[in-house]
Amino acid sequence: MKDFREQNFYELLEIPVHATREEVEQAYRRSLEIFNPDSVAVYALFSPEELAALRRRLDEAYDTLGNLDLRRKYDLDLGLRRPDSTPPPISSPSASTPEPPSPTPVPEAASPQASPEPSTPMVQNKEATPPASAAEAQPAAPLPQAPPPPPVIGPETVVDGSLLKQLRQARGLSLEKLSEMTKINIYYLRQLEENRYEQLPEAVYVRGYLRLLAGTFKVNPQLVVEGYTKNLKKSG
Amino acid sequence: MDNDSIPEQQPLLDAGRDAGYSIIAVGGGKGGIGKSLLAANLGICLAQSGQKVVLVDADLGGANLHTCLGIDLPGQTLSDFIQRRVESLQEVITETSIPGLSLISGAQDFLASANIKHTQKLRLLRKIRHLGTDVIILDLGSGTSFNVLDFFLTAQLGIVLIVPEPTSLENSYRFLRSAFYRLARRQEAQRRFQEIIQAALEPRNQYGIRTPYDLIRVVAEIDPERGRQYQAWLEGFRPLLVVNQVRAAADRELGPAVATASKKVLGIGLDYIGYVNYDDSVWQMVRNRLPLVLHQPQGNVAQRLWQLTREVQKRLAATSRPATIE
Repeated sequence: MKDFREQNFYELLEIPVHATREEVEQAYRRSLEIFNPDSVAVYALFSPEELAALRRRLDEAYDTLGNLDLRRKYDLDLGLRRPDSTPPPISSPSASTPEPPSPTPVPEAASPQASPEPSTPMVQNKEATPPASAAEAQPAAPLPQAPPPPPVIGPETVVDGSLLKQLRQARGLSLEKLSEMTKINIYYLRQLEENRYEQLPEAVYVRGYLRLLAGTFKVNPQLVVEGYTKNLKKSG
Repeated sequence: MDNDSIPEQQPLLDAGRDAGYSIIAVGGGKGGIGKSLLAANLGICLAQSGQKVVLVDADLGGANLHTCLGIDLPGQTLSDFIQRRVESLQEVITETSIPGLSLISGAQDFLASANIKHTQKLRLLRKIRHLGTDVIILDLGSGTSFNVLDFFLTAQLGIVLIVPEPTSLENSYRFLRSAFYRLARRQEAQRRFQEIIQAALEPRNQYGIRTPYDLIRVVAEIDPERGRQYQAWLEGFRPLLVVNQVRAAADRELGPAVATASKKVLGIGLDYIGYVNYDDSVWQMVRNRLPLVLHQPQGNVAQRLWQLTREVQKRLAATSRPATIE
């Protein structure tokens, strides 16, 4: 169970990871009805801004999961599929229709209540081809590039998305791995690095994320939190 | 909030455990939405199904369950028990004309009873245990006072009743949030976390806590293991949801929508069990002090109430959870 701000698109729409296009569409429409500004069901649950932000995320979820290419890329980001796996069917499969063959087993469907955690299946998928250990085991393979040195952060350092990206890369971490380690939704990690402040959740969550990231990167959390949130304030 | 401070880690009630009885609480935050009507008719339906039922009017300060059952205010009420004018709860039980159904009528001493002390509440809840019955139904008052929340959390099945109005939803979400904070507060022994929970009760608190999810996040930042414990409490807190006064077709969709929104925003899963239509006959029945399921058994409202009773019975049979508070 996660806060909706940390849910991935499947969790947000409350659909399993192998949902068909039709199911994505139905879930999206139902969500829009529930999270409608005029809906009594959401009265007093959100501020108008929060509700608008949730609806934007629902739109984004639909745009991504409703598009085969974008969905494949998103699934890769989540660690749900390998690049050569087959996307989910366009139309609803019957109850007895098996999933399309896939070189790597797709994790079990997430129920609406129990969302797909970035746990065992995803970790297993990634560990099947870990870049570092593969390079060690196969000397013939091209050596991975050495990570860049970590930037030094001082009181005058401009803390923005590109600095967060440098800190991540200096530790040789992919976005997926960082998401796994911190349990921060990969979507938000990407928005943080791309300085897309309007896509980020409330400041209180962003500060929590930044503290987590600073801890992971082993840099001064105060400088990171204060430095980055200055940008948030500027962006309004 | 009332000024009822909690002795630390004092168990409220070991309700229902090994005792062979169940407690159902009907609440929902807002007044005048039909809680007493639902409680009374649920009691009648369960009694007519062969169960021994005691209805307790726990709306301290606003009791009127006796009216919904069509009986005069009994000579002795919960007031007499709370004020120790009688020692035994048995002495304030009134048998109704419906076989198997009895009533403990609500307190009438408004100021004294609406703010009963924690020790008085404990005494009441402990005595309720010994009533020797199958089902105890608590008809709760409105608001989010600790009295109301503690009675709600005592029950194996807590029913949240809403009507399709913004004010009802506003109060119900507040009620659900408050109930979870109260649940956590009662389980929490560490002072630093107690203070955070206390702060969460204020709408604008220093931690930015607005939902149970926020509370868990703040606790987990301090102690991840404790955060997981709070998460487990949240997952185990699953009240039932009933929608009353359904008029339009869209109102019928409200229950599932509220369950989805509550889960997504508050993290509180709601088990939606059905709705009751709005019907002029309901207020006519109340006005004439006639229990609805008995006097219009074939009507749509009565049929809905019977359906809700069956859903409740299924969950009573399935639940082995002794009580939310242990």
